[in-house]
Amino acid sequence: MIKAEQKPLEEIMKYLEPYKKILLLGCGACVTVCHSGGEKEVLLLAEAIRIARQETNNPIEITEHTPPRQCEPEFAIQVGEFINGAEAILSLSCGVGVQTLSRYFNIPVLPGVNTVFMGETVAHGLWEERCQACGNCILEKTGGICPIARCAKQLLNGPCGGSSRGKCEIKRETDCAWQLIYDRLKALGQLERLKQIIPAKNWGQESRDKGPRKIVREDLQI
Amino acid sequence: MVDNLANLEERLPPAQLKKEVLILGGGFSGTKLASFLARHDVKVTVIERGEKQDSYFCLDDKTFLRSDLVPENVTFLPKSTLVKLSGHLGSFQATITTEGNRVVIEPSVIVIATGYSKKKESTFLPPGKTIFLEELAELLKESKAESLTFKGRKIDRISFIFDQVNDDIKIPFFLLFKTLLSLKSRFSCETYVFCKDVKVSFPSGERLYRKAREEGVLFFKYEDFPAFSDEREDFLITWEEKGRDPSLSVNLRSDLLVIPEHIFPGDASSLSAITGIPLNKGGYLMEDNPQFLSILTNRKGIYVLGGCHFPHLFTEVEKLAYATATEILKLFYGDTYHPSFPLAQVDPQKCALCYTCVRICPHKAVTIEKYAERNIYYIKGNSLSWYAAYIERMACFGCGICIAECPARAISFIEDEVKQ
Amino acid sequence: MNSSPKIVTFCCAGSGAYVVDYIKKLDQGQIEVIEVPCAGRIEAYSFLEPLRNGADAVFVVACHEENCEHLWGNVRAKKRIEYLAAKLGMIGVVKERFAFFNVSTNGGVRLLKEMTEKVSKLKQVNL
Repeated sequence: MIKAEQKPLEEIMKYLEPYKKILLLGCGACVTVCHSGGEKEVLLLAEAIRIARQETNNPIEITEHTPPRQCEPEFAIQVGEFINGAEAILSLSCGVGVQTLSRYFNIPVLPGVNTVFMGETVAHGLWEERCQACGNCILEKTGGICPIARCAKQLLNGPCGGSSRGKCEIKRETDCAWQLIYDRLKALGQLERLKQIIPAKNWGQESRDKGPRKIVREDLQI
Repeated sequence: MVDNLANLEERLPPAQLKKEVLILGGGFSGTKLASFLARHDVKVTVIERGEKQDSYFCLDDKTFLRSDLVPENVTFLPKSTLVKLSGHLGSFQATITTEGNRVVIEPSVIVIATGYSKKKESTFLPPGKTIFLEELAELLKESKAESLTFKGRKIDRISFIFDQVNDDIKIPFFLLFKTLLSLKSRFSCETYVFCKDVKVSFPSGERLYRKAREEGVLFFKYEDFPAFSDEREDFLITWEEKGRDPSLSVNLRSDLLVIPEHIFPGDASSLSAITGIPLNKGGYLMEDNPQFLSILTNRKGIYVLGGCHFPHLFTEVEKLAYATATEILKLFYGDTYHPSFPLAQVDPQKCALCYTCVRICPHKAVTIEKYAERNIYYIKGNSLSWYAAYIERMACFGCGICIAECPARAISFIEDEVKQ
Repeated sequence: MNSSPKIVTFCCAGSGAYVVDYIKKLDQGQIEVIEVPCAGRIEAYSFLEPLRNGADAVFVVACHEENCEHLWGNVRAKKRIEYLAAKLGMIGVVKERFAFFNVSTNGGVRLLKEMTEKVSKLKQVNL
């Protein structure tokens, strides 16, 4: 799922300086699960903003609402009911939600979280990056461990040789992805796969390198 | 209005607890408890991983049954272990493998009485001149000889080395005193005991200690382990009394070293994973928390008894068994059990299925079981249904931690809103 | 600086509730005591609401570690309040305005002493 982290309060307060009335929106999907933008966080952030503005004698009016998601047109439009003269929207959704809202409303939509990665819950309160949306998944060849997301150098055909005791030479705390791939293929009895060369990716066609991508399903379009 | 397919009522009815108890472990504590409960019309199942129970069932305090007889009301399942546990007080589902087959038992209450384990470890003493305490006790019992021999050598001087392991455990000292007195009465050996402190806080402990000293056993207390060296024929232990000027140093030679078996929790960690009861620092079941008396756990309807919680002496375990029986009979009294307020409940329409409440609940009262009927919520008159977290009312303690942690603010107290 | 700060104190039923009399002795102005079943029940935003409504400080009184009837409710509350103090420190809310105390049911005297010290530190700080 998409994992995000709330922006530092200082930064959010700077964004809100020119405004006296805002709509604070949470999101009931990914950011709820990673505890950065659900209803609980909305309530907490609203209180914090009010207190901060009270300190500087510059009160602010905040309407709070948490739709189930923000990234569908219907959800985004529904949110319009809650605007009521707000001068800006502070959205705690991922970047997708913020941009969906921007499409429908003529007031500034400000991000309250940093969308960080697509990741896995390793333990409660600990999330790690797993997918970079490269557009052409090669997990079948690497035993289910992604070298694009988990190798610092995004190598496709084996380790760089700089790892030490299974840890990456770029960032010591990170496990060497190719060490993990090797261990996993060995456990699966598929070490032969390591001999197959994985060709360079088509970064321009499949990935983001030539601009934002699109998925078109003509059979679904109304 | 949202309703639950299992037809949960808005008001809390008192629950009927069927008088059925499952006891894990057929040792001293398990059989003692089973016998007592059976006399009070409770249906008891005892599962034991060994071939037969370790101790006797009894009809009353005086009549002990032959070891192959089991009282009425008690079902004894040998060669059985618990592999999975779900459910809550009043209706647990315990999946047991018994002699190769899987069987599901559905008691109201579970008592874990799996005991502790012992291992013989002597990493620092050579095996040829070392014996374990229980082995020595057996040797003494069987030997009819005039003098004590071990591996062909005549033994005149014995050193007992205690407290390298088994911190806080009194059991080895009980056997130690008995063995010392037995030794002294039959053979004329020089006997030395090295320990950090002499644990005598049990009935007859002081008396046995004094008798041992009167019989000529020498006790030496140490803080750091005394220096010892393995000579060809015997051992040399050098003991120093600290803090004395001039310091006193004693050299003692002995032919045989005795150390106690190492008592450890056995397979407590896998049982902890299955039942959701945390381990304490020693690795035994249930946290060392003064809010929980020696038999209570963080889960309603589950108790820990005896050695699996801490290696107690038999006299202590007996009292604990009676205490457990009293607690259980209290639950069953009058046939109805009232869950107490406040109780937490999930608003299924807001639940994001993030598993936070499942992980954070200290009492394991929350589940998200994908195909269980209870977790399917639906709107009356509408065919839509979806899955959400479900808080079991019989298991909830009303602490409210889930309410504070839920990122979607989907949980609240029933009927007893705590005002901020 | 405010000579009689308004303090809101959350007390848990396991320990704090037993020492309310001692807390009320903290004769430094208005003390409001709110009882909760477990310190772990106190939501993060509940620590901030009093501050917005004019309180100068928020205190939590909970059981000692490894003494919580709900295993880790006191630890959760402590982590929550520390997270908030750090977060709000960025916008000028000083950390002296939050305090967390562990107490046992018979520890009223010691609690009063610790609280008095915290309050005097609070008074020295410019809010």
